[in-house]
Amino acid sequence: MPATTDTGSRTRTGRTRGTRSRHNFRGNMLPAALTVSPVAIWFGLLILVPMIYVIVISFCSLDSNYNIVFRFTLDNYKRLADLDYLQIYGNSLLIALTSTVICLLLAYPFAYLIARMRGRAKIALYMLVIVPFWTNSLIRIYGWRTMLGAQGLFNKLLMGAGIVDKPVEFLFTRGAVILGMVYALFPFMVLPLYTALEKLDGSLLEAAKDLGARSLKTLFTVTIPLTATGIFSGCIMVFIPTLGYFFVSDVLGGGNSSMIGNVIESQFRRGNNWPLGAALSVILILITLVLVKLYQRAGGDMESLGG
Amino acid sequence: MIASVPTAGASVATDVVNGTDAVAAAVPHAPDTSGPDVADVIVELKNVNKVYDGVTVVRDLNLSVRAGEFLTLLGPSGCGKTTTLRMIAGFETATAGDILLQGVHVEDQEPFERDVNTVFQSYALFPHMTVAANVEYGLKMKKVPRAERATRVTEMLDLVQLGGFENRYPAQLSGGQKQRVAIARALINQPKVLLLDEPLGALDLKLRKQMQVELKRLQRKLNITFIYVTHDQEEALTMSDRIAIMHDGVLEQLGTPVQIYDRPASKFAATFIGETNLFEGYVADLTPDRAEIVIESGRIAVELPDDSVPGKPAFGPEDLVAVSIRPEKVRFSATPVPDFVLAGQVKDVIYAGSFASALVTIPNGSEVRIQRRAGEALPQPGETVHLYWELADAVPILGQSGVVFDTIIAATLATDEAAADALNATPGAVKRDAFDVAAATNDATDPDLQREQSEQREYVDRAPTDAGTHSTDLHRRQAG
Repeated sequence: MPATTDTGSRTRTGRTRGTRSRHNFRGNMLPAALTVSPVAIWFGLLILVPMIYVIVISFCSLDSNYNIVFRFTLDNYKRLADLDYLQIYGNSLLIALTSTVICLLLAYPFAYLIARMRGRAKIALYMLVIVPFWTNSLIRIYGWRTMLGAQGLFNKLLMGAGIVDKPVEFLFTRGAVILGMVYALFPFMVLPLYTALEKLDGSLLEAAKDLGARSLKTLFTVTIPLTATGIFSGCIMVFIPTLGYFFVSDVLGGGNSSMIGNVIESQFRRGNNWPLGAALSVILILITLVLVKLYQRAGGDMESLGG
Repeated sequence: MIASVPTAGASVATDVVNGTDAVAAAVPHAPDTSGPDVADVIVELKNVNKVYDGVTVVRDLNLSVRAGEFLTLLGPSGCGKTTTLRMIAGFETATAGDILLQGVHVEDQEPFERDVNTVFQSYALFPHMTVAANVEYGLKMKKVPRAERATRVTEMLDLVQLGGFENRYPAQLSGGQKQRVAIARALINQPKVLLLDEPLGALDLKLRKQMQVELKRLQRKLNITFIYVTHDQEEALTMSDRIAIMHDGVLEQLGTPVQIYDRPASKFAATFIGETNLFEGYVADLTPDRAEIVIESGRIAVELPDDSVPGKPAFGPEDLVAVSIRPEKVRFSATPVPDFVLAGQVKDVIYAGSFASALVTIPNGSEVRIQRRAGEALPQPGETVHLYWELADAVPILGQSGVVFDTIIAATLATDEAAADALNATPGAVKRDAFDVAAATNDATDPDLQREQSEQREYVDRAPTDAGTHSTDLHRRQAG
């Protein structure tokens, strides 16, 4: 309140009040700075500096020995316009989208179940989502690789049951990559959905029923619209990591660089072409930013509707 | 009835030959229009029980709701009234018993299959829909054509005086407006019965009173059966055609507001509705039409209701009874009155605008309240008065559990020496081992009403002096 009055009066009555308020502000600077600085240093060192570094080298060139030289060029970005790279971006987005949709379809009923459960069953279901976090996801993905392999659990079961004669090639397919993504990111979809569903007022569902809506109608006219925020944030939290989880497509997709994360990784390591890798990263960051912006807009709208 | 008389007369006059037939035809018609009939019952609950985790929330409930009436389920929180409403709506399943809507069993019907609608306590408006979309929702679900939907929504919003609010969202409405939208939304499907679960609970007092009147008017206009749940006894008295008082999952009394106020059937009903003075004692002397009852502070008399009163309690000598007498029915006299031995000293006189009351301390230490309209005579503080009443004004209530009573006796005998002394000192008091407890309560049990009254109360404080002179000191106190 006082801040608003000050800004308002400053434009009208001139310097005196403005100066005083600035003085007060400066007096409060020290504690504020002390409180904020650890976070600011953390943020600056670990996020801002590397980010600027990536952006800078994305405009640098390589000399004949594949060393980075600070000579401005747009070649790296030009190369990205190649059909190959566009295809990889397209493929990555497709896999991310498919994984997100499958995640949503699986997670929504599950989150609904947790939200409606009471007591022990609720805790048990909730832990089913949380416990996998306690193990490294890379290890868990290798677990899938073992199970999906030619001598893996699934093929043994299928052959034992006489459904197939020779092992099915689950591994190194797009399906396997999507499976891995869905598996690895499922909790990130469940948690925001659960939060949204838990907040949903049960009497609204009763009101819909009371007014003649059957279960499915209630779901589409009340439950889903009122949990749209959770759906959006869940989708964002699955979609964006999918683009970057290169190890999943590495382990389950056979490392044939089908996704953008793999390409970036290989440019930095095997390819030793940091500027190109950086350019690829910058584009990925831009895509992510656009998505987050879209989410904020959608989320913001939902909030003003729901409040 | 008035309308039917000229019609019958006209047919006699014009149709002279068949005059007798016309009269004969009119006669069997009469009971249908006046008295309650089986065909009139729209909701029927038979031996309904509801058990949650081993706790019986509603016990052996039998209730018939007549078409077009305003029935209130009244009781304190946790008495099972909301559960009963939710069983009628279909949100809860009865553990045992039958629920019939227009004579059809609905126990297994889903809420969307039942021809009833609910106004929820929290309104439960869909926050992502406009006012118009909220109201239209029921019609959409019933697949009413778009054009008809639009006109009916407009009509309904006009009915609840919310025309022009179509495009607002619930978050942009005040509590009273939300309430109206909730009512409009529930009424748009023209249900046979409207269920209202404490719909005015969240509104402030002034708005609540206004909405009470509006709801009642709406109910008369649309001629829809309302089943209304509240814990507010004043609300129930104001709006209802009949009140069902529930307590601990049991229906204690069902009757018109006047019946319930004048002839409460249980101690709970007597204290929950309005203010009352309650005396507990045993029947000492019994004739077919009256009983004399010995209480801790003396002896009182009461007229027994005649046999035509339904649920007339059957009293026997020495039965433990409670007697309820409303504060406005208590009379006082400077000299002893026949049939009564009940004297006390006036402790305080309280002036409350339109009425005033005197608090009289009787020998066992409890207070009896006498209430009069402002300007009518009341005894002065410090005076000793003999209390009595018209025998027909007091209501005898039977049905204390002997076990409970014995426990209280044991407890009071063990601890309360002073009470025993007071008993001995009282003229006319009877010493009796099996009887020791009598209480007179005059507290209104409804906290809302108490608060409301105390807000506008003016106290006349008169310091009592022994010579009968009074120093009067009038001042206001603001409770709060």
